[in-house]
Amino acid sequence: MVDPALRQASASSSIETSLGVPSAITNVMEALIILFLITAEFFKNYSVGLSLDQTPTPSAPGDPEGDV
Amino acid sequence: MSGFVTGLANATVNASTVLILAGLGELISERSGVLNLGVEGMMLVGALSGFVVTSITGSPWLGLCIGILAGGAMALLHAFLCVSLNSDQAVSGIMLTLLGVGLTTYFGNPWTGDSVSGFSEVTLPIIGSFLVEIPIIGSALFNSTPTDYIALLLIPVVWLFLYKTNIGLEMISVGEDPETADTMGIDVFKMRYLAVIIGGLFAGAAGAHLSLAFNQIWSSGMTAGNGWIAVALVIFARWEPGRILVGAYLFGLLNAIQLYSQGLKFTLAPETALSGLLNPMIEFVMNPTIMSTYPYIVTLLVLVITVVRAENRQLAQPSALVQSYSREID
Repeated sequence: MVDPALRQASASSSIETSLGVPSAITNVMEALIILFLITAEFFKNYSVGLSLDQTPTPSAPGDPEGDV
Repeated sequence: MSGFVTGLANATVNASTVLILAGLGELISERSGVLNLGVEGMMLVGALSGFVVTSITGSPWLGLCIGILAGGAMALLHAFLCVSLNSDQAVSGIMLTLLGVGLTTYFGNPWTGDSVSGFSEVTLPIIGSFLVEIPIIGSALFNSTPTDYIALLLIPVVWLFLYKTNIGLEMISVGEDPETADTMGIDVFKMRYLAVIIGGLFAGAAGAHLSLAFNQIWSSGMTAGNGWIAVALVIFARWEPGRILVGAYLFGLLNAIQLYSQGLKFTLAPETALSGLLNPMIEFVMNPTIMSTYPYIVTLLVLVITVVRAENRQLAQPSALVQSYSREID
């Protein structure tokens, strides 16, 4: 059962009050949440792929380095 | 009265050093096109790390170096997020401020209220012994802490760096038009990384000055909004290093006034006309709590004036400020 007064407050002040977490830690938690969010923005535009295929890609015809 | 004015001048110089250092760092970063709103957090990290190292080793110079490096490390994270990942610069800066406040409050708790033997005031070598005799400003300018001298020296150094060196001019070009700069063979990413890290080093120095020269104690949140004022100071200075000095002294004077006038009491004699009306107003204006808001009110006014000037096209902000850069064609 959550205290109705706590429902009005922000999550950080709620855990400070109900769990006794220091406000400094809630600041760090807020910062980390923002950090993860803005880092995740990067992956909206770019995808990270992992290829296990070790075979060399065939060289394009006419590529001077491909004939060596 | 002259003692009060001399003390006020001393406090102004001391308080403005923080703003000069942080403002110069912010200016370099913004000149390359990267807004750094994390100055407050970088200053706090610099202040705590400098304080802790000095209290352990007893060497304020080592503490200053570590404080500077700590600010640079925070700036590296900002550069990675804003330059490499193209994240929102404002959000990244606010995140760094939150992170700095939280980390320094938590890890600095054992040192809260402790004092340290930091930088003491020294007379400028050779010419200082003559110049210190100048009334009012003599002792303020020529009998200060080493960080005060370094901050003043850095203003022309930063000006020379930005306008008279290839790297500085490349940084400015990256902040004005990154695509053209890239076409001309300038490494935009490297320049922006460099500018942001230099900005962080300056912010770390500002924080270390606070804990090692200005206050010589550690208390959580000791920057008291100076990082935000430094951001406004750059706008006030219109991205010119020389004007940073004027703005820093203005904000420093306001800080010094509220510190020095707390014990003063001005009242008009009862027989003076309108004393009944004016005395409560004077009491309100001289109230220490009200006076502590003056630097922030002035900051607000500066921003309003800046916006008005921007409408009149008198603002000279870097064209690519807050714009992320990617080589890919959209």
